[in-house]
Amino acid sequence: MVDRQRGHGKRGRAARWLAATFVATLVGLGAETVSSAAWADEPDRVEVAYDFVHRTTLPNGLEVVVIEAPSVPIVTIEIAVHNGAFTEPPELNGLSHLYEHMFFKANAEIPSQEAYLARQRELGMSFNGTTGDERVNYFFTLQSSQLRAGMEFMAAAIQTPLFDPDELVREREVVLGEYDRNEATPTYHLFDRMADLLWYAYPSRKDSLGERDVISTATPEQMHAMQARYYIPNNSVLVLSGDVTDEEGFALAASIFGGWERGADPFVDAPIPEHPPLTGDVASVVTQPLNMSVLQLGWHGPDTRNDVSATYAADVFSFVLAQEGSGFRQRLVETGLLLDVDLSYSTQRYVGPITLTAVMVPGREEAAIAAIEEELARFGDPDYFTDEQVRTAQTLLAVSDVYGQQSAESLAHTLTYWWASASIDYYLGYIESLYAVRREDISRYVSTYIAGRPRVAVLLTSPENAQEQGIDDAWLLARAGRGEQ
Amino acid sequence: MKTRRGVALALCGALLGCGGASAVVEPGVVAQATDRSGPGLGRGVETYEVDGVPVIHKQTPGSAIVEVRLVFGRSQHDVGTPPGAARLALDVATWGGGVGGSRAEFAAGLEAHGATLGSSVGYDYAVISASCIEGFVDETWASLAAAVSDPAFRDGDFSLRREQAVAGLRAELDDPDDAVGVLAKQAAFGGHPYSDRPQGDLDSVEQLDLAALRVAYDELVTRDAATVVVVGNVERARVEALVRAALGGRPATGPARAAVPPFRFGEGRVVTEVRPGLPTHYVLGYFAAPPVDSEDYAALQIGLAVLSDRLFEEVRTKRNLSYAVASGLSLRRAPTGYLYVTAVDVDTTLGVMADTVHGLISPGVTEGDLRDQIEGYLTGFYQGLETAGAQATMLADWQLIGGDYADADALVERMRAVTPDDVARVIDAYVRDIQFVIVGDPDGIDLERIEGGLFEFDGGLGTPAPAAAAGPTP
Repeated sequence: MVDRQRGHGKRGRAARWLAATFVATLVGLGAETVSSAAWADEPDRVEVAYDFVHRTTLPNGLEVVVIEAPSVPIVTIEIAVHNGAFTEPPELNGLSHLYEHMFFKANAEIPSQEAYLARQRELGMSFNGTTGDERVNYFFTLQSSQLRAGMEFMAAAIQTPLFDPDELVREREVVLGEYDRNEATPTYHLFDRMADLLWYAYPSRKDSLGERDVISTATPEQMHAMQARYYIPNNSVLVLSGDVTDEEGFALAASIFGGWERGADPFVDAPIPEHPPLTGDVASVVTQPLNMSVLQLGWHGPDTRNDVSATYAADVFSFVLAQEGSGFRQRLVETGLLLDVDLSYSTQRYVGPITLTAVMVPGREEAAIAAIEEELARFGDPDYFTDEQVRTAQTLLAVSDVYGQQSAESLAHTLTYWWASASIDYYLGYIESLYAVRREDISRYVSTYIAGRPRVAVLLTSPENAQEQGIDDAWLLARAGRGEQ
Repeated sequence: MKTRRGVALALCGALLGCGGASAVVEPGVVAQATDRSGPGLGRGVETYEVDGVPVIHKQTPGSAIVEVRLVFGRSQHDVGTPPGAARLALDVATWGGGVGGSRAEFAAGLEAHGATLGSSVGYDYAVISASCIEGFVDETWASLAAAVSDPAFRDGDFSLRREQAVAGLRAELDDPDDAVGVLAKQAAFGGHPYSDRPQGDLDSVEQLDLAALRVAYDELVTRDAATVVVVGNVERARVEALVRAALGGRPATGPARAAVPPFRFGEGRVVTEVRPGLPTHYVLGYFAAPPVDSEDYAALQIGLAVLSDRLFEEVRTKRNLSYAVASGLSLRRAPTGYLYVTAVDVDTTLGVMADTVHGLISPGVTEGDLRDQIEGYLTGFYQGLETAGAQATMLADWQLIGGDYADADALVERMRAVTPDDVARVIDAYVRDIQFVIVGDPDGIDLERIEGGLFEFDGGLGTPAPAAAAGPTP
């Protein structure tokens, strides 16, 4: 399954709300307590604790995280790997995703996918995998009485895939079927065009679906090469989430995954190229049969390697604008001009995208773009938002974490998302860092990454509306570009 | 035998034409604590009445989330207002808040606490929901009570939400996956109360006015149709105060809940939505299923789960004909089962699917197949018990559709009693006369073959169990 979710990772992040103080206890690396006395005198703060998150690292480099969430007798076993679109040059674009499909097939312990599925049913297990820009993850959820069996099943799948040539040929067609479904969806073409233009130098590094011809000609040798390079313990994290203790989880991990052989750092031999900045505005119109128009503006945002503090400011600002009472929504949506509008930022290790997405009734494009431009011009104004709205944004983000912590499987996905795009420490300190964001941090984020910065504009509309309104690339650039540059 | 008695009372009420809300809690039982060991939806549930309104209250130690569902046992087809009025009425009420303040103040108050209010009108009941964390219950419930008891229904709020609803209806067929769902319901539900779909249609919603919304709201949100579901660590006294504040001033009664007959299709049918150039076809077919209190329901539930796994294996794994293929069963007063697939080669794919269905009749399934499905079902069931929101939804579903929330837990035991012969019989009896919709390019697809017997096996193993003329009535 291709994970094309962008900019929503923080909504799914997990935290635990308590009425007490903030305490993060990291067991396994030695107890460590983090507290924030500065929070104590601030009322209505949603406080969080991570004392249910335990971690260690095996001698082979495999990071192991145990999340104790024993409300019901189930456990999720998840492995994530630093793999995905960001590791793919054009000639390999789509193979991380194909590999993800092949994970659920024959291995040294299980002779075929039919046998694999039979074992899955026997264990009463739900399972899936996703491939994104910077992470590939695999997860099984089953009753906790089957934890050991499930971990052994996972270990065989990740360490000993066979990549049977016949199974690969058949699975290529299944992946192309997934490709078909994407291409049949009108909004896919908007997102695809935006990615191509935003990441113009290395579009394959942000396209987890990949290219049809690469997928349709993939070979077992390519799969084995990917396994050797990326599917190694020192490039992976194992998460056990649910009805499991740290003691049991760590012991099982050492016993079952301790023999997984360490490999060379994959990013020494295959370094990730830097996406060059946009040098000017670009606009493109995409036509599809649909009854709405969707405008998307895109910028290069911060990433967790180069400007981590701006990543927190980005999330807070997005949630300031998302409030019903924000001037942004009041003027754009509550007036009836747009059906919806959203500014989002996706936290990533290699340049996170900022996207403004506006949905409108066909025919309103010109007025909508003009109004959006007015908002963009005001983003840097000191009175554009209030301190109360900043506080509300922080509350909304913290509360969304509390919701995310209810589900063991959701917790596992959340943790591996942040492991891939930032680090586990980033995850554990996320809420505290959000509450530390101040007005000047948001101003710096806006001025560095949005205001006056080069951008990509893509408009999705019907061919009939484009013709009726005279909309083409030049029309769009004249209205959704920055004018004289 | 609380489960069966709840159903019996409901059926009695419906047959006597006295549909009301009195069957939710047994008469004379003011408070009833449920003592169930082990994980289960009913664990920690207490039921009681507040001024005649039944309350299902589940404590969830260790969770910080509090979910409320104000559930009303009526739908669009029960009220006398134009299509779409009921849903838009609840939407405007919960979006705009009560008469005591402005919409901006209402929204800001909720957001400041990370709380949300929402509403929906489904085929069988309507619901107004509130969700918040423990520390902000008072503020959230005050907003909820204000919105429900005396909604503002401002002209501006109404105009904006109606325009957004109209835009949504105009675009509901844009995505082919959405389109096949909408069109399949349209094809299967014609002539049935469910054809008066909750979201209405474009012409009707465009013509709605505030007067129609007020009527719909007053007919839906009445005390006799109400059941309150609370999941979270809140004292009973606060729940009682909420119920009185939100519902105390609402009308005592409304229209009787209409009977919902089971579906009887009689023959197979294929409706096509032509989309030339689409890279694949979207196929969805509905067939009639037994009511949840029928002896056949558990057998069909487990049979369609086995079928879904086998379809994955036969269609996707062995023959790479599709990325997405599935079967399943809905939980409604008039349930339907479904077959779903996206495929380039529809004829071949549906042929394999038909053979796979037939395989459940002959040679059939094994005891091991059924054991495995029980384990898989339990895993999914426990996952549903992790979140307060999912538990609140399950409690409401099983109470309003099944007649007793405890039936959710009992279904596991009913599934354990299912035999391979039961599965063969219900697959033969129900997976037939399928109402298919195909979105894509139908040129070259043998539609007559699909309509004319591809899924008719003549296994002679049985006929559907007699179904009640109406589902349980709360």
